[in-house]
Amino acid sequence: MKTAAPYLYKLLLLNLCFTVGWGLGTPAMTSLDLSSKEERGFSLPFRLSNNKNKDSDKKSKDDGSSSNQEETAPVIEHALDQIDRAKQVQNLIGKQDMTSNRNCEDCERELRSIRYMQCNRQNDYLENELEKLGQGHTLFAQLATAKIERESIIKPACMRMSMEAKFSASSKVFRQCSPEGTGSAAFRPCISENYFKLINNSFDLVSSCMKDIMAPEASDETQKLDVRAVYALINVESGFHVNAMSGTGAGGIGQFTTPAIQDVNQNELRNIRISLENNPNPQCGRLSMEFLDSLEPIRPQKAHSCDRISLSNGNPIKNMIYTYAYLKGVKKDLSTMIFENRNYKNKFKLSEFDLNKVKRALMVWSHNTGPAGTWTPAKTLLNTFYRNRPVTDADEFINQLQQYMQKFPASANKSPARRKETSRYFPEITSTLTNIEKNVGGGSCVNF
Amino acid sequence: MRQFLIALSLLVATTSASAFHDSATITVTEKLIIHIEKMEDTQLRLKALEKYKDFLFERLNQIELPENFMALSNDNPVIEEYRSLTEFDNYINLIRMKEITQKDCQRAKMRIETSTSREGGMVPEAEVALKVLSALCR
Repeated sequence: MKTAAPYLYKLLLLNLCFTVGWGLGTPAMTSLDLSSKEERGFSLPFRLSNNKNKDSDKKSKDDGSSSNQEETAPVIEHALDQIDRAKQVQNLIGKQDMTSNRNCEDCERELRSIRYMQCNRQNDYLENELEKLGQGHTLFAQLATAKIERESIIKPACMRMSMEAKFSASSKVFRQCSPEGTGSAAFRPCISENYFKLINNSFDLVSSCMKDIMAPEASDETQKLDVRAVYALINVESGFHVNAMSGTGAGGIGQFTTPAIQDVNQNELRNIRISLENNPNPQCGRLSMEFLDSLEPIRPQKAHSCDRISLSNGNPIKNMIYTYAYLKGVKKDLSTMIFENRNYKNKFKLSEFDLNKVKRALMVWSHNTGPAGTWTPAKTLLNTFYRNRPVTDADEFINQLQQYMQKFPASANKSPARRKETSRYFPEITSTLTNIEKNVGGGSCVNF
Repeated sequence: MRQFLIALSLLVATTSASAFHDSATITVTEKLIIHIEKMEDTQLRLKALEKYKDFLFERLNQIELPENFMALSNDNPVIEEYRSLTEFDNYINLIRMKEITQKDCQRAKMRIETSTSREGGMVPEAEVALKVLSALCR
């Protein structure tokens, strides 16, 4: 849960490499610098005026919404909406194969095109452990060795791009854990076939089991869009690298901090275990038994930060479960505080699809702001701008929330740096996701 | 001069440590605490709390911010006051229980404490909410 570093330019360049590299059947590996952080000022998406003056408000609303929809696309955008835009981009870069990926018709080709790295002495430090843990009949072994499924919820090509794009090969924001549990700085791990299989297959299994827990009664499409949001979030947090560790100690796939781990251990883990074990898919029960029952929970103290990242402690699977568990708790709190709260729920005059879009945006944002970090700006927005009018445009609401994160943050996010970071978090996630989706074959990263 | 500096530093310390200054909210909060401390019937205490939540919501919808408030600086007192009241409202809304039990009271206390900061520190708004909780759960 740390700053989402923008790496859109890198993605664009990476797109070129992938297009050329994959097209020629040769590996296209990059080691670009991610430090090019573009400073962007925020223009107000609307002009706030006396809420009794509805005419002027409506005008300002109309003025604002159009310009800002261009600026940030929400995570939950319907996949079909994306396909046409992606096709246009593909046309621009001269790619002629314009197969829609709704049925994953070109997934087989994409799978064949995925390239893995040749490891070297600097980055092969996970390989021995992977090989060792990949033997036997454990679920970990299965995940590390099973072939990549072309029908996985998130397309493997998107997963592969995430692992390549977030950090350069020479980045040293990684930790290598000793058997004693102490960590030392390391290069980005080698994206070998085994490592990629472990990450890709783990995320697919954890997602397929946890999506029912996140949204039990929701449609398959809604659940998959939830997974897409989690994919986008992890992509920005860790680039799906098991041992990513920030300077502040946030660690692992979901970049967990001490309070977040405490929260999951105290409030979520018990119910997650029960739900997984009751899931009709026996693999979900195994997730619980082999990663939550047989292993100790992640210890929240910084001194035990290897718990968040080490393979021997069940990562990345355990950290992925924690990520979903944390978001589940956040979602529940948001319901109680806003979406099911008698004072606010009637303010949302949105379709179910758009309401889910807003909920998902707040959920993703909370991963960075903390559980309470979205309540204050969201409620302030509802009690001021929407005091006498309903929320009828999900995208506009999300864009306005970005401004309110700056102006009315929760106490924990009041420092200038945190105001900036929290307000930009969600827009950066959506921009990065949009770019990945444009750059990986077109269409959504989700196999619907 | 020295006394003046001491007085000034005390004033600054008091201001930074306080939550909000809205006199209506402060008065009603004080009255609520005294009121529910006297109540023996726990259900009546919970009803009083629910009415208090309604009061806070209404208050947030009565306070008029200046027209150009999004253009004001982030540390403008008007902005900070509204922010602080909204945050306080959040903590009060974390106090949810059908019956007043030790377990539920402890859970609400923990929720307020863990929601206040990414690193677990306590903020003034949460401290006031804990006073309300304490009166409710006495």
